[in-house]
Amino acid sequence: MPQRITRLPAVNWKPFLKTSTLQSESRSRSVRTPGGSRCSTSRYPPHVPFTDAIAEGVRDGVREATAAIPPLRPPNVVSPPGRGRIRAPTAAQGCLHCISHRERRSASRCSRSAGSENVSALKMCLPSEAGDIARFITEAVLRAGGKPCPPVILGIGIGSTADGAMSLAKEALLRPLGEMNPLEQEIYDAVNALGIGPMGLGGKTTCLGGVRIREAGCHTASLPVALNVQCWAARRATVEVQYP
Amino acid sequence: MIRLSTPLGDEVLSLKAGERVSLSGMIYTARDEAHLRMQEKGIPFDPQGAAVYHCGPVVKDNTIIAAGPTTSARMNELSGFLVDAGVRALIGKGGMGETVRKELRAEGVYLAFTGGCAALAASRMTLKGVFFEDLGMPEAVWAIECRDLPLTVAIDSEGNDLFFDVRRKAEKRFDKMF
Repeated sequence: MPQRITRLPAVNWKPFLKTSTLQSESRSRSVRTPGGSRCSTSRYPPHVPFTDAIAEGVRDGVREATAAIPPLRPPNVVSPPGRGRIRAPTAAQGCLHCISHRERRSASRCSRSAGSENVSALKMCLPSEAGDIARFITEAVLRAGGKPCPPVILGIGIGSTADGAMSLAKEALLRPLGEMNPLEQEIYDAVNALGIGPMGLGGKTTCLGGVRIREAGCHTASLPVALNVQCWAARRATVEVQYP
Repeated sequence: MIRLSTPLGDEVLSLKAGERVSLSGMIYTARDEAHLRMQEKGIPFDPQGAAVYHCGPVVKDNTIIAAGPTTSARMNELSGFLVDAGVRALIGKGGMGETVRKELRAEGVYLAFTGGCAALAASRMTLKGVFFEDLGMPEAVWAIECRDLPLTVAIDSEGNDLFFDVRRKAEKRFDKMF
């Protein structure tokens, strides 16, 4: 749910993003655990290009949050594959994910560790393999084992293109937990039947009440399926903005 | 709950996978880059009976603010030299691979801490020092005094591995389902 409505001038997104980053961190602080400055997905209102002002707003927010008490851990970002350390200002940009979206004018921020992000999976299925989606996802969760800090929430993107499917999977994770459609339920049941359990130490709950699928149209010869995993510590914040 | 304190000795050899332990004493954090640096430059602390924690903490004004575990599997092929040097316990989350299981045989244990519970861990820790600070906050080796850190023995010194058992059962269930 949106936490508050903010009215902003048409072009100045910087203070808004700054507020959003800080709000999210203050939520982390309320349980005294920094959410981390690691992977994040962010979503912006329609037709807002990923401008320097947005990047700057996020950077400023991160800078303030790392100086606060208790602090956010400073960005831990390197240049692949050389592993040279990147300074914070460039760091924020690499992890941001900007989507043109027509339904809602909001920005969301969710964080998780590399343990979850590293078990992401993409399969470019054949159109004839639509019946194998549950198998592919369940196998990916099996391979992930305890690494993504189960019980997890599963974001699944079906359709679009290879890159688009992964974006859909990330966006799907923003949908609040609740009712599931038949395919989501099928995947949920299969994943929990694996018995991987909390932290991979065995148990009934591997998926925490949520398989989230987001679909988009794709080429007739194509069926991209992407999985993005959220650990149990699903800390997120959304800000809805009234935009003239 | 079995109480352990560092430096660890042969008492770790009698621990069994699945048992819960409570660890006190000095532990040292190390992630990917610290392992690589230690292999190159040597271990900066006394490794005899030491416990190494896969963790990149948040530190502010010489205080541990958060200290959750990172995914241990990334260190699967980087940990042998520590055990060879006398390290008796590796601590992390998510489990470790076959290589580590063999390296720990008759030598030490892998202990699991719950991922995401960084605040709980920090509440039982006091910062004592730091090595390789140039690697940055998460990758540096932090020397931390801990009190009653609640852990689960996930790999014991006889080769029993809780994560591996769960995985094997899950594979069987997967084969049955699909």
